[in-house]
Amino acid sequence: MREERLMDAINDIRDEYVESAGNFLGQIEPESGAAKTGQRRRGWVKIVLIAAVIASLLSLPAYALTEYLLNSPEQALKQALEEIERLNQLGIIQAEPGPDMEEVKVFKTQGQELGLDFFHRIIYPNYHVQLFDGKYKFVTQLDMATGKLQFISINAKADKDEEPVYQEEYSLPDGSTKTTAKYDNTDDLVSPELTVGQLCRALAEYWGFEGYTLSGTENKDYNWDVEAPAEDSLVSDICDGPYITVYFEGDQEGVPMYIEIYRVSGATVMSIGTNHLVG
Amino acid sequence: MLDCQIVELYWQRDESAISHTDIKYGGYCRSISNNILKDQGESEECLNDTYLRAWNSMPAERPERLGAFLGKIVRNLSISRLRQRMADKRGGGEYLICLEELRDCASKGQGPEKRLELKELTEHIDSFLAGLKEQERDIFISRYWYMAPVDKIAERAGFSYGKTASILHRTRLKLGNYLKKEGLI
Repeated sequence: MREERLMDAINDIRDEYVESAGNFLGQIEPESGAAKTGQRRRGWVKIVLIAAVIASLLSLPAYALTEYLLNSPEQALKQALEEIERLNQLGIIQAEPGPDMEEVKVFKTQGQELGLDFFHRIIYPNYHVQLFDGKYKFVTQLDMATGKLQFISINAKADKDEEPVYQEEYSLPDGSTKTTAKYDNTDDLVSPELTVGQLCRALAEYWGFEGYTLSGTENKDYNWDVEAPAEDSLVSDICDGPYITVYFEGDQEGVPMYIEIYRVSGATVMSIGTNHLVG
Repeated sequence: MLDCQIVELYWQRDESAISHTDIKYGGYCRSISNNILKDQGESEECLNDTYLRAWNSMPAERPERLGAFLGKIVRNLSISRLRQRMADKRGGGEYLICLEELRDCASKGQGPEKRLELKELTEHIDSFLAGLKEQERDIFISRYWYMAPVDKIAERAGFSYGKTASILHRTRLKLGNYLKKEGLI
């Protein structure tokens, strides 16, 4: 093992160690703590410039002449619920919003073709609809022209009586402790029997694509470099591992879609969509 | 602004997320990059790439510790850039000195050793770090994660340069022994 490899492996040590040493160096402050560094504003102009570029890209009226199916937040909310139901009918997910919403947010993004070099995706004008019913949080983006989901992320909270598969208590720099727990509740999101082939076929049907090709997944950030999954492999098995990389015929040419499931503290999350948000 | 509030802005595709990120973590990320690259211009470029990568990855990611999340991105980008620079035969900064120091813990390319995925190696390092005293761990990570100069670490710890260098040396020896015991070198 060479020292470069050791240096690479050190990069992904536990976040709390990174945070603690950053605090020791006075470069980062605990969430509740006092400021320890004065080196903050240099380069500010440049960053503001980036923010301005993003703002301008998101606000250009590239589709001003398009006729939209969705023209109001009410329509967008109704459509989001219908599209989620459609995903359930197709067997893509098994997660339905309950009748009592604790939180609903609807807002509109004016998008345009940003180009593949920028976000690795094309953003069409869309409505963001976010729903939280206490168990599930759905974050969706709906194409205003077609009403189809461009992106969906579902956060499924583990049930209270569920046993964690991983639990850790750690100390914060201010001396308090916090517990993080992860659960095996992928079945709150997808059927345990759902295979990768079935999922991709159903997604192709939903978006009206003609077919798909599974690909290997390479992600240097996570040191993933794996072969394409077998058609009959289980979708739930991708949890916390390399996501599925798939090319749909009819989607943005040469741009893969990434389907992933991962655990966060207290919940499991699934994300899919033609917005190609990962990568 | 709390991390979770900034992350929420990313999830809502609100571009003010970047400004808030810079206010809270700009100095931190800049410092990590500067320790590695020793070039403010290149560090700024890495920082911009870091913000774009963060913007690009949320959603779907929802980091619980935004500082560490950004720190890992900027460290990775800075090391990649430095390796490119070294391939072009330009300067190597603190990174090269740290590499030289870590040579004690790495194998000499002889004898049996387990071939591990990077992720598994990280888990071993995490276990090793868990066994260190907090101050010892902070000093080690300050040097080999943040690549902070030894004199700066000494100043923060309230120790002399010699004592800090000695702590680092002893910790490297411990890591080397740990990796040896695990059959990794």
